[in-house]
Amino acid sequence: MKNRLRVLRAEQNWSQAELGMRVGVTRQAINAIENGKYDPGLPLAMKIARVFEKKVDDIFSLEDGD
Amino acid sequence: MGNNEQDAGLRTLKRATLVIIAWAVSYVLAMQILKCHPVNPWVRGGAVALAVCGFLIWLAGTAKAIRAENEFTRQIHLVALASAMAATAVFIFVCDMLQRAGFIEYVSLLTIFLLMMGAWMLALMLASWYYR
Repeated sequence: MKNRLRVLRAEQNWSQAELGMRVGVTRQAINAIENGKYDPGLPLAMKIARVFEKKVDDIFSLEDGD
Repeated sequence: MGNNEQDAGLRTLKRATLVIIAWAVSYVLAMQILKCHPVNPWVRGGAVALAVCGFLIWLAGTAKAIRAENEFTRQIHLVALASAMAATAVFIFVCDMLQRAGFIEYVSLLTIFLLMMGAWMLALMLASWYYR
């Protein structure tokens, strides 16, 4: 799964730690999601979408083979 | 880190400390009783029950602490626990085969238990490092 988290975060000028605080996870979690090491569950994906005021689909999308 | 998060972290730490103390106290008490070699089976059984209860309290406290974490931290714990279980299974299987082949005589259950706990801690560190 790919995501636009890094780009959206940069647009808001938020650090990984700041975004993590807004959605209730650690900086490591945001870093792992951005680097594709971890795919968030639905609750976290929805929280992330909410803080960016976007739909989950606008941030996360399936890659070929997913 | 927000105050609520800090409070939650402190609560978890306090709970973890309390359950570790409960386990340690029950274990030490049980061992003291068993060291006296009581003849009465109820006393010996009580000592065993005491130690097991202390351990179960620790286990329940740890499970509760993990469940209280966010989904990413729970994922790290899941990976660590699965790795520790796999490592323990490999260790038990290897020991069994070595025993059957006559290379070793006996591996105590406590050794297996300690190895499992050690593997869990190591796997937790490795998983945290991988997802850092």
